[in-house]
Amino acid sequence: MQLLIEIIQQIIFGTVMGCIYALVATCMVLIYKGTGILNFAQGEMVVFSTFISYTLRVAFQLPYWVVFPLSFVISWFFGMLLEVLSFRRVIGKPHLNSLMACVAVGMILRNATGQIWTFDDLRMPPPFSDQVFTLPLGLVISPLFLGIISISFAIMIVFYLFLNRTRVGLSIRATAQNPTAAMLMGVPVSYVYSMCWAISASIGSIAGILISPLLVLNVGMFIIILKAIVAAVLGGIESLPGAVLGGILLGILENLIGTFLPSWIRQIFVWVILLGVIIAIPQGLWGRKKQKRV
Amino acid sequence: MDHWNDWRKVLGWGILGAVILTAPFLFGTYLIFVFSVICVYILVALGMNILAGYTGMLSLGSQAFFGIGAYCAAVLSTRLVGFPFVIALLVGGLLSAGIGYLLGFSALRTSGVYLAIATIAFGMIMNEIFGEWSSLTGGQSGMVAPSPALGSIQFQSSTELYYLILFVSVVMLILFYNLISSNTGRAFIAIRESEISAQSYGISLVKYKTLAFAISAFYVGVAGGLYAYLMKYIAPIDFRLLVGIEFVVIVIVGGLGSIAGSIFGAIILFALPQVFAGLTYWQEMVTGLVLLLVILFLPEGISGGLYQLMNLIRSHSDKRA
Repeated sequence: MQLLIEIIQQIIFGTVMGCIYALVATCMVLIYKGTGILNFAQGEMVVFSTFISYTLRVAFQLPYWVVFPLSFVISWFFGMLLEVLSFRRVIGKPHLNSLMACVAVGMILRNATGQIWTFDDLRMPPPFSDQVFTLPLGLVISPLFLGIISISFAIMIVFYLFLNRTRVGLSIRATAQNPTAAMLMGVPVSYVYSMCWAISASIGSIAGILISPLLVLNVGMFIIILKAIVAAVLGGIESLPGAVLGGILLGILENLIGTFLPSWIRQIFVWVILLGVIIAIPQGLWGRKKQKRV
Repeated sequence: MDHWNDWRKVLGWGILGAVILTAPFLFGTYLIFVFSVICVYILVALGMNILAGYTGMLSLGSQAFFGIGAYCAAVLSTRLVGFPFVIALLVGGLLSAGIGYLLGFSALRTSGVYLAIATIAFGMIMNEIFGEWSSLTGGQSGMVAPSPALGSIQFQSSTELYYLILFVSVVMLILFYNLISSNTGRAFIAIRESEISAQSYGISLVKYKTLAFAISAFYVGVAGGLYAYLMKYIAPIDFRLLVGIEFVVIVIVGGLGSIAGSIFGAIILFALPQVFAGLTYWQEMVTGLVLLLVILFLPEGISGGLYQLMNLIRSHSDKRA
């Protein structure tokens, strides 16, 4: 019984982390589907936005209900700016170029974040109280956890409706399926590309605000967010529901393994799973197999 | 005209060769150390070039091979005093090559972005192993690598190390040149241009993709062994993901698919920071900017850009004459 409760507790913790993975993985899948670029700079983009939110919250003393939307909007333009300055020029180029362009932007952002703010650790004030309270059976949970889970799910539902119920969402889906045909139908393709980056940066900024109170906020945080790549691949890199499920699954598995096995196994477990999935089922758990044409 | 050009070329190469050979008498200890580092990274760049430049596969996990080579050299030379360094380097290189061969099988299942992610995973796993296998590698705190030895002869001073590394680099460079001009090298390029057409010409993807990984790992592994001897101290942090990314940056900035590109890349990435030593904090930003600008505006890398510039100047002066 004790073991069962421990497992349930770890599943709760894992879901919290998993929601963040899912959010960031959603951003990566959106960009990959929309523009064909796997965004290796996503981690750095999230960290950069989170430092902006930190400034808004701590230096300007704004309340969180202002910080969330403001940071969302600032990141929106930040994402667009990055797209116009660099990523637009590598669309359709070989993977090597587009991937290393992301790496380059990541390096620049990482250093810029450190130069503008600091290379040291910061403490992000939590948007919800992180005082835990005890549920029946001895399970513990805090408002922060509940906030992370509910905001993440709210964003994902809104994002789903946006993609499937609005005109802009329709044009994004059309571009993802076939850019040339979309262009012929009058979809402003380059505008759609910008939109993909803007949405990703904005959702990423929310994910950053939510997760940073649980960790320390510093430039190195991008490594943790990079694990969202694993979530995206796990679910199939072209499938949005796959990214969400993959993210949550990854968070839960990581926590369960971290509890019952030595910590170094937890460190490599993620990467072993990733290597296994890529070699055994490259299309991911929820993806569809693709045929290569000559 | 041609004759004149040849004469100048011979003179240029002669002076360059003489400077390289007599460098320890011309420059200070620190510069000699920098030259040795550059030689090590030229070997790394050659290895990365086989994958990224010639075969068109991206590996972001090659720092693991660097680590395998380094730990092999360090462990063999520590445990067995006077162990010949040549054999230690070869063992490290061959062990890397074997593991690289196995990793190459993942390149048969996937390509492009997926392969890059798979190699990242491999690098992360190996890095954790370096950190956890304390009895062999000294764990996270690292281990001291003794000077390379050949029986009772020890290579200790920076001059001796420089000549040793220079010798190994030149041998590997000649081997590389022969490899690239052979059938195997052409098969690699054919795979880069189009896997499907390469297959239809009878080039076995299984054979050549795994071979490319093995050879690349061998080069990076040997370079890792030299690195351990040169630095005299290695730790898992020397083989983290960012190091593997730096390896790819070298070949892309220098120029993919050319030997000159590898050499230029290593010099640019490791000599410039020494010149601008005051800018340590900005180094990552500068590297990132250079990489981004090269990707956007110089698809052939800096060596390709220089080559174009020289051709431009030459055709201009020819017109005048």
